[in-house]
Amino acid sequence: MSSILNKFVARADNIAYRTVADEAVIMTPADSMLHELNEVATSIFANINGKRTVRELCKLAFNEYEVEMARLEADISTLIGELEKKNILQLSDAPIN
Amino acid sequence: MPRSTKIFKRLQQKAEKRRIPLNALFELTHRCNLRCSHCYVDNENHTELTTDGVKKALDILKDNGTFFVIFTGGEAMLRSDIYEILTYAKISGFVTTLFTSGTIIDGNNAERLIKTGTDDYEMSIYSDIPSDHDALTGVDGSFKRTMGAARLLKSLGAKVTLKTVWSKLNFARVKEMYALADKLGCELRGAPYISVTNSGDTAHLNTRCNDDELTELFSSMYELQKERIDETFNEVRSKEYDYETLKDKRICGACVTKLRIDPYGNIYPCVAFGNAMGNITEDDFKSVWSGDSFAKSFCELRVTDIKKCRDCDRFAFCRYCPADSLKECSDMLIPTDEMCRVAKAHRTAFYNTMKKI
Ligand code: SF4
Ligand code: SF4
Repeated sequence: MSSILNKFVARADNIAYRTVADEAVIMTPADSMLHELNEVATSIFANINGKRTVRELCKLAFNEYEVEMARLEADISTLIGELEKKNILQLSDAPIN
Repeated sequence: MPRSTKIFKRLQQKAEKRRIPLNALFELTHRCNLRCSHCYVDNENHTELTTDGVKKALDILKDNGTFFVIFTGGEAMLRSDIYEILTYAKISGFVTTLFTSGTIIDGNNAERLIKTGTDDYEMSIYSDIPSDHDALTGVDGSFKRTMGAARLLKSLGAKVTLKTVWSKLNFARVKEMYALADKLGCELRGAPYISVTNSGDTAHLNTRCNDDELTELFSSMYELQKERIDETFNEVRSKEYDYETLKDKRICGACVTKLRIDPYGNIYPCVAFGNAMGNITEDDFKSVWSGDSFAKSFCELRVTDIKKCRDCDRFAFCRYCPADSLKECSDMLIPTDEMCRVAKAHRTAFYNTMKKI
C-alpha cells in the first residue's frame, strides 16, 4: 500500500467518461465496457489529473470527508488499484501529461 | 454500442428522469459523394459550422451531460477537419461513433483516422451483392470501397459495425448478409423501417417489403438465432402491453435523452423530427432545451396516450415512432399503417418459429 501512495495517477488514454447525477460512468475503449463509480469515487476521480499522487488525492478527500486518514489511504489505494486493473487509470513514478 | 447492458440501461434511465441529452447525433455536413435513394438530408448548400463552431457545440453538449455522440453526414469524411473534430470529441470524454460510407477511407487516411481514438465506425451496407448495393447508393464501385474500408479499419484494430435497411432489395439475403458481417468480424444491425423523409419525399417507399416479404425477413432472422429463442420469448413477454407500467413511460427519447444537431448548428428533437428547436452556437442551450414549446408538450406524452395501441397483441414487436406518425398521419398519437404492418409480420414470424421449435 505504501508504494501506491507515492505514485502519480492519470486517467487512461481515450477513456470516455461523463458524470450523470453525481455518479461517473466510464467506457474503456479496448472492450467497450461501461463502468460506474459511486458518488465518493466520482469525486476522487474528478481530482485525478496526472499531476497528483495518490497521497495527494487522499489529502483532498480528507478535507472533504470526515474519515480518518489511515482509513482513507487504505480505501483510496484499493479503489485506484482496482481502476488501474480495469484500464481506467494509469500509475507512474513521475507526473503524467 | 457499449457493452454492460445493465449499466447502459441504468444510465439511460437516469438521463430520462432528469431529461439529460445523453445521446447526440451530430450531422457535420450534408454534402455527400453518394446518392442513396432513401436519404433524408436536404443536400442544400448552406454555411456549415466552422471547426471552432463544432468544438463550441461539443463543449455545450458536454456541459449538458451528452456522453454518446454519433458523427454523421451527408458524408462526414468530406470535412477536411474531421480528424480534428473526432480527436477533440475524444479528449472531451465522449463515446464517439463515426457513421460513414467508408468510400473515402483508404490506405492514405486510415491510420490518421485510427489515431483520433474513435470508438466505433458504422457503415451502411444494403446488400451482399455489389451491383445491388451500388444501385441503391447510385455510385458504381461503392460496395467495394465500403468493404475495403471496413476491412482496413478492422485490420488496424478499430471496431466496425455494419448497418442495413431491410428492404425488397435484401430481405431474401439475411443469411448472406450476416455471413458477410461475420467474415469481416463485424456486428450487423438492421431494421425494415423505411420512412417518409423530413422533407416529405415518398418515392423510395416502394422499396418497403410487402407483408410476405416482411414475414420471411423476420423468420430468417429468428432462424439464425433459434438457440436463444427461449430468452427472446422472455424478452417478448416482458414487453407486452401493461397499462400500469406504461402510464409512466415516455413514448421515446426524442428531446428527452436524444437530440440532433445539423451542420448549421440547429437543434432537433432527434433524427426523425424536422422541427428545429434553436441553434446550439447562437442560442442559450438550456433555454432551448427546457423552453421549447414542442419539447415541453412532447415530454408530457406517455405510451398510454396512444389509444390504438392499448392492449394490442403486437405491442411487444412494435417500434412506435411518433415522428413517422406526425409525417404520415399528421398526429403523433396515431400509429401509421406501416408500423402496424411491420409489427404484425414480426409477431407472425416469431410465433411461427416458436411453433416449429
Ligand atoms: S422513435 Fe422516432 S421520434 Fe422517437 S427518437 Fe426514435 S426516431 Fe425519433
Ligand atoms: S401494431 Fe399498431 S396498434 Fe399495435 S402497438 Fe404497434 S402501432 Fe400500436
